[in-house]
Amino acid sequence: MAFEYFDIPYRYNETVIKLLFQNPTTLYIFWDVADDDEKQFIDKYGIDAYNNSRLYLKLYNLSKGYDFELNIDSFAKSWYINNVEPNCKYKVELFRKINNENLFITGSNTLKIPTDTPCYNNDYGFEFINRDTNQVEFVENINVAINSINNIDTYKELVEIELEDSSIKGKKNIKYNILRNPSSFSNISSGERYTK
Amino acid sequence: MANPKGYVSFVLHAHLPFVHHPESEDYLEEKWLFEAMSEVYIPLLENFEKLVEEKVDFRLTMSLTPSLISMLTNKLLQKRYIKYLKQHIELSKKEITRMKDEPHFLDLAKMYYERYSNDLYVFKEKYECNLVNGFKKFQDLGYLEIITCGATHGYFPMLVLNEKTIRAQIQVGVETYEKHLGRKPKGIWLPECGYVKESEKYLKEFGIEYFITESHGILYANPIPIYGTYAPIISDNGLCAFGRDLDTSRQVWSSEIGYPGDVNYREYYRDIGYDCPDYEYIKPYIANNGHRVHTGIKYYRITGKTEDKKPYVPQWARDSAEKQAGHFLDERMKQIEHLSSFMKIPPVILSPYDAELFGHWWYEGPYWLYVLFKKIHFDQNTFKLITPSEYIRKHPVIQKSNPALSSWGANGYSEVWINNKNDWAIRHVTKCGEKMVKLAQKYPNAKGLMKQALNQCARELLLLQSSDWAFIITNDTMVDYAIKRIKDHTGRFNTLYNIKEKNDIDKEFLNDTKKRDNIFPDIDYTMYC
Repeated sequence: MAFEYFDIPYRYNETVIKLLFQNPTTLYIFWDVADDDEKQFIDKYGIDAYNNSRLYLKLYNLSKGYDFELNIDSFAKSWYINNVEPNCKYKVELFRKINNENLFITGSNTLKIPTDTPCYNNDYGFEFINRDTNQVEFVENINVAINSINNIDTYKELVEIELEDSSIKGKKNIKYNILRNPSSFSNISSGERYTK
Repeated sequence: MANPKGYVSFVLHAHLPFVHHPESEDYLEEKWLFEAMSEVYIPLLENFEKLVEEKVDFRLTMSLTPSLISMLTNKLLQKRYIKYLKQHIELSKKEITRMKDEPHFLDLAKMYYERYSNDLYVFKEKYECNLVNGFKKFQDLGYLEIITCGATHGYFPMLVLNEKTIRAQIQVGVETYEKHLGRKPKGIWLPECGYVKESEKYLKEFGIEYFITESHGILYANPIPIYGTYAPIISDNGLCAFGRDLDTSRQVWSSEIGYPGDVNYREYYRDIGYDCPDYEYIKPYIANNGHRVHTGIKYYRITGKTEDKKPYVPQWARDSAEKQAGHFLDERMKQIEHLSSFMKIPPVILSPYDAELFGHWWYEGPYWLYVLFKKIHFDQNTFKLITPSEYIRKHPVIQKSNPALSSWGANGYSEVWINNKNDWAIRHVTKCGEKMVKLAQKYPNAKGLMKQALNQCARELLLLQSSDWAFIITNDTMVDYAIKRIKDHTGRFNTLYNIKEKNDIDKEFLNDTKKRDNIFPDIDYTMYC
């Protein structure tokens, strides 16, 4: 067989921006701007204007309805945004700012990022359905659920939330520890899977 | 046992990335497969055999990933495994001579000689060089439930940028399963337990009924599962999700308190590949470039937190395994008694592990499992072993709740696969996925050489998507090899892609590439349309 060596391209010369999550509070974004698009900008505004302009990201929290801007290094092609709100939908746009003008370059996919807390919802009970018939067999209400949860000693040790719902304030204070997954932190098999 | 109070469901996830180098025998990474075959898969199969003979009614779920199945059924790798075994038989025979004046080590050398000789017999004669048939046999007998996985273990929370690539991972996974196991899979091990909601429609499309998530995939589900991980949940799409039980994970997995750390167990890091003082003697059995590596022949026990390791005593190790199996059994009985006292549905403790833990990292693991299954069958009436699909059939009343985005990687999300050591690769994985979809849509009815080239593009993309490369880079192990794999698959894909665009196929390059990356022979690129 012939000897092979491949190097991968530094970039694909296209205008694109993509959004992923690293964890519930950190986003990862990567982008590129095609040479032709940069040239169009330079042709329109001139090279001086181009050199004086700045790239920036605009992050939209679509779940909560707010956005904010981040200045980024002009040579960067990716970025991590920390301390975002978990369990929200986001999208991000790439702009070039020249004088006071914001020129839209491109926008990303929309992404829902994970939650990092248990989800307490007392609007309706907890439905149990029969998967064969798709019919609701019974509904556990929150008080039953609380009793069940109170009795799950292991569950209590491992998961803590403070329930803020007013209907149960003053009742037994149920606390759950912030979840630490021991297997993720001390996974001897996964961590050393390829140690040789 | 008529009406158990609850169940325990063991799941062993057996996966290795596709490593196949017909061009050279110098790749150490091929040994991952051979070690797993000798230390994990054959011992598990032998123990299943014993359990059946002893009339133990056990249940176990195993995921055999498509890339692993591809290697286990690959003729070249089967041949090389036989060579590997013969070398180890030769080495252990020489060890018998070398240790003739050290009675304790002599017994261990004989143990390894018998073990490797038995492996050769089991592999060649019993299973005709195809261990997949061994696992299939126990599935057909009703003891084992085998589930599938993404084709090349692609990490779905990253592939979500192009949903067609998730669909393709699932489709090829299901088709590979069907081809080798003769039936459709009911369950799937999501690669790295990486769950995203977008994957559900494709799982359902291909007939999957359940999947497994990390604990917080269930504990953070919406609405809150009132029974935690002690019962599955059912999503809006009708798919069931089982979550990892934290207690049983800690007991086996934890580097602080887990069973595998028992002082009587075999010490992994004392191997004659490093210990043997005579370099010329050991040279034929280590790396071809002369670097010392593990051989699998180890003479010491963990002993304690000390460098002064004492000789391994197999009987003491077996005693520890039996004691720990008893402990595990007692803990499960207490756990299930407690849970069943207030749960309206029978609790199920889902205990998933990497299969490689049992035999490779934890040498005594398969024996522990064997003893445990016997104890569960003969020594108690509180609970039974069950597979996830059996559970949802027997107990179809399930809480409606949607799992949370999660993975079983360190810290529970995507940090292992998206960090500043490996994020440079994401752009290429994403771009190749987009290009593949464009190619498939541009040439939906390709024939002949063009079809072969497009199918090979599909293979290169799947291999590029393997989550193992990013994992290896993060964990700083065989980093150069992982980077090379990313570059090779990106390079081969792009070369074929460019050839297609120019309508000029280099037959020699295509044939070369097909020989190197000959995974999934029946692949159909049109799945990306």
